[in-house]
Order: sequence, then C-alpha cells, then structure tokens
Amino acid sequence: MSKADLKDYLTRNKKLFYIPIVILFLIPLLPIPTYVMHVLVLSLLFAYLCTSWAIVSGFAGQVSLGHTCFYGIGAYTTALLFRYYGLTPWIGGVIGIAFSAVFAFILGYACFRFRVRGPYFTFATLASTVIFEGIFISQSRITGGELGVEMPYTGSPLYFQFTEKVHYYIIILVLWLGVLFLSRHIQNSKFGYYLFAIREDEEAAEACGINTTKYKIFAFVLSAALTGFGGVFHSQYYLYITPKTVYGLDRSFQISSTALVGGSNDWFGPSLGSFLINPIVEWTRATYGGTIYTLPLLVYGLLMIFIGRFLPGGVSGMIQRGLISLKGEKGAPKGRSQ
Amino acid sequence: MNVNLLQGLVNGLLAGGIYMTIAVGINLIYGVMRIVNYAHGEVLMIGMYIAYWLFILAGVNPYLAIPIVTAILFVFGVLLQKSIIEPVLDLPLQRQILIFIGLIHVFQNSAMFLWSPDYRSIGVPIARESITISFIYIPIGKLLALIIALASALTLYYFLKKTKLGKFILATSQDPDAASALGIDIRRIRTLTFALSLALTGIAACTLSPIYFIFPYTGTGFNIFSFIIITLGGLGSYTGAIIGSIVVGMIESFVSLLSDASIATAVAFLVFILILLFRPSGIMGRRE
Repeated sequence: MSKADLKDYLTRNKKLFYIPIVILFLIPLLPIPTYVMHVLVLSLLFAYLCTSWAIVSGFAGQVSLGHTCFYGIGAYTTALLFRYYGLTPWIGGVIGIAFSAVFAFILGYACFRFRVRGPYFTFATLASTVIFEGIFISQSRITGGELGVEMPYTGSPLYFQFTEKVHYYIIILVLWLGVLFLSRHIQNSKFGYYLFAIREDEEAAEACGINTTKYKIFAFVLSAALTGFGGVFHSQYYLYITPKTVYGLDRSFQISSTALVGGSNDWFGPSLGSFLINPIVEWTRATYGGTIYTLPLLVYGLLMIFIGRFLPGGVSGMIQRGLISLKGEKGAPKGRSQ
Repeated sequence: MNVNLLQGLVNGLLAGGIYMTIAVGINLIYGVMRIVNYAHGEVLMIGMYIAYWLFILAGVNPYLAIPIVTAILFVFGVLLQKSIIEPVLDLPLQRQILIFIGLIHVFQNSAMFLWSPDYRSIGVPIARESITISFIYIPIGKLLALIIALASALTLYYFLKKTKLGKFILATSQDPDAASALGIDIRRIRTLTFALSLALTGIAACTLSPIYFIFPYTGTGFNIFSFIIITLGGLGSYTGAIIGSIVVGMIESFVSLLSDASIATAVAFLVFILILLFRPSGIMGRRE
C-alpha cells in the first residue's frame, strides 16, 4: 500500500479509532490476574492525572509541580467525611472536588492576578503541596498524622467500594475517556487556542486582547478539579491514605515527567506516556526489586534526558511528525511548536 | 533578654547558614543562565558520598576533605555543563524540567545502585558536641557549617566584585548580549559559573556530611528548601539567597519553638507564597 492509499484509508475509516476503546472495555471479560488488573488501573489513573495536568502545564505552559496538592485535598476530604460522618464518598468526593477547585481558584487567582510567572509560579505550587502535607501531618488528632486515615471496608457500591478490581477498572476507564474527550475538545476550541497563545508568548497574547489571567485561572481550576477526582478515586481504591502518599512530591514529579515523556502539548501525549512507562516500571519492580531495580529507573532517567533534549513534544510529538511526513504537507498540526 | 528568644535566633541563624551555601550556588547558576538547577540537591548528595568514602577508606576528616571534594565537583560541573546543561538553556521550561527530573533519576538511582539505600553517617567527634553559653545550646557541627558557609559566601562575593573573571560573570548575568559584544566568551563563563556553583556545593557537602545522614535521597529535602529560598529572595540575586535563607531559617526556628516543629516548614512556605504576592519576583528579584 502506498502512502497516499494509507492516508485515504485512514481518513475514510475514522471509526477505526474506536476499536482500541472497545478493546479496553472488553478486557475485563478475559481471565486477567489481579496483579495485571492493578497495573492497568494504575496506568489508567496516571493517564488520567497526566492528561489533567497537561491542560494547565502543557497547553497553557504554566508548569505546576504541586498538583498532588489537589490530589490530596480530594482524597482527604472524601476519607475524613466518610470516616467521621459516614458520608458516602459519592457525595464526599463531590465536596472534595469542590474543595480542590476552590483552593486552586484561590492560589491561581493570587498568583496570576499578581503576575507570579514562570519558575516563580512553579515553586509557589510546589510550596503549596508542602504546606498541605505539613498541616495534615501536624493536625494528627483529626487527620491521623503521618499514620494516615484508614477507611472502613463495606464492599458496597453505595460507598464507592467494590469487591473486584474490575469495577475500579471500569470507573477509571470511563473517567480517563472523559478527560481525554475534554482535553481533545479544549485543544480544538477557542479556549485551547488562547492557552497555546499564552504559552508561546504571554505578552503578545495579552496585546491581542486575550484576558490571560482569566484563562490561566480557568485552566488551573479545571485541571485541579480533575486531579481532585483522581484523589477521590485513590482514597477509595486503596482505602488507606497518608500525607506522604497523596501529598508527596514524588507523585507530583512522576505526573510531570510521565506527561512530558509522552508529550504534554496535545490531548493524547500524556496518556501515551503513562501507558509506555507505568507497565514497564511496575513490571521491573515486581520482577527484580531491590538494588537491581534501580538500573531500569536509571535508564528511564537517561531516556527522559534524551527525550527532553531531542524530541520536542515527547513521544507523541515524534509520532505526529511521522504522520505529517506520511500525510504530506497538508495536515500541519496546530499549536504544537514546542 | 529571654533565653528562649535568643535560642530561637541562634537556631534560625544556624539553619539559615546550612541552606545558604546551597541556595547561593543555585542562584549563581540562575543569574548567569536563567535556569534553575533542579538537581542541585543530588549534586550535594554525591558530594556527601565522596566525603563519606574519603573518611571511610582514607580516614580523611570531612573538614579537611573540602579541597578534594570541591575539586572533584568542579571537574564534574565542567563535564555536566558541556554535556547536558549547555544545550538545555534555550529550551522551553517544560523540556528543561523533564531533563532535570531525568538527571535527578540518574543521580539517585546511580547512588542506590552503587551504595545501596542504607543510611550512613560519619562519626567526627567534634561535630557531635555542643557548647552552652548562658543556657543557649549551640551544636558545634552546625556552627562550623555556618561559619564555613559565611566564609565561602564572602569569598565568592569578593571574587565576583573584585576579580576580572568575577566581573565577567556579573556582566554576563546582567546582559549576556552586551557581555558577548564586549568580547567575553559567554560559553566559558557559563561553564565556569556552573563548575563554581558545584564546587560551592562541595563545601556544603563536607560540612553537612558529619551532621546529616547520607543516603541516596538526602538531596531531595535540601532541593525543596533551596528552591523556596531562592525564589523568596529573588531568582539570580546574590543577596536574595542570603536573605531568603535567614528568613526561612528564622521562621522555622521560631515556629518550632513557639508551637509545633511539624508545622514549621508549612508556615515558612506559606509566608513564602504571601511574600510572592507582594513581590512577584522575590524580595531582591528584578523584573524580567
């Protein structure tokens, strides 16, 4: 098949792209070991988080290294409401997301309104995570301190708890598809173009009449609320949270690096990063463990340096460049210069 | 004067001194190259391991090992700058962050692989003792770290202000294009700055190795503190790094003294965010 034929075939059969989605929904029908299921859930959760992160840090270029802050707020609100008031996480989760969004609005408004930019913004978000971790560790009478909160297991779907991992898988799959759809929609909307303009040159965007502060705040709040829901899911999936696991900076750095490896400038890149990295990391951890386990991570670090240095737009950027050369001059992508 | 208050001041000053050498180093790099070296704490970790192995294998006192560790890290800085940092400079923030997270991974996992995740410590008797002056308790290890940090910061200041090479560095940080037009080899100045900054970290590594545990993740905590301190003081500002270190050290020390040590960092960082709202480029920062 020649290049032209292939291009023709792909444009005529757009429905082909739904096949992977159908396969993902059919996976639970197969007899899959629990551990593999766990890895799938984890990869989807990270894909979800990275896609949410990329809305503000990739599209709008406002790099946040403190997204676990919102993750933790979501997780802790749900867990504490359930623990002390027996409130079902379905409602507690909504409150948790609301809290995440409100805090993101406060932080975002304060930072963007007063023109805290670039690395200053990055470190403000980093500090906010550390602040929350400190508060939740020190208020141990309410939050359980470093030991964290354990939630009673009921196994009832009414309380966002399930007996099988498959159910969690379906939930996170739906969530991920939702955020993927949203991200794709944003990328091709006016809002998305505003964000790209802000990323490329904020002053120029402002000069064009774009209310940069407003759109940056909106992107930040949206991204934070989505991340908050990730935290809600985490609390119900593990039923045990500690300040370190939900607020820890490790997770923040992991979200950023995974998204950037996949490519944070378009809707599919972050998920690509998660699906490429998480299964391999988990598999090597399970197989080798101990000191040998550090070797794959070392290679991963070198890979990050390589991708950062030579592949603008990460793996996804590379694939797109491949597709463009396949399609010829016509299908030049939008807003993906870096 | 209240003894508690004095003790708080002393603790704050000592903590600030420890953050100072690291923060001054990162800011030196930022001033000249406009990038934050996110992996600075990991360089500190490597320096501490070098001091540790010199002590274990050759019996060199870490305070006497300063010239050796400094020299090794200086050379390491030249190599790192030439191979990885120089090409990074013109990339957008996201790609820089990815590369630095990669560097952090490489450093930490190399240390894990080579030296295992064990916590190690150097038993230098003098660093474990303390002196008490009218009920104020001063640990000698931290006092030495403060004195050496101040001395190295002053030396650096003198070097930047009085020597020709130092003036080249300052000129490059003020306006790279103009400096280049005046015939300064900017690439060489960048390499020198990076290596110098890592050498400074080498000094900190030697003074900190007797008082902190040495393990592959030692650098992480120092990293976060240094980022907050340099942003608070103003990225790239020499005095800003020193003011920031003292401010964060003091807040931490007084909060621990008056209420609860576990919330001290949170309060210091909260103050940081609040200051940022009034001074978006830090206390001594310049508008860009």
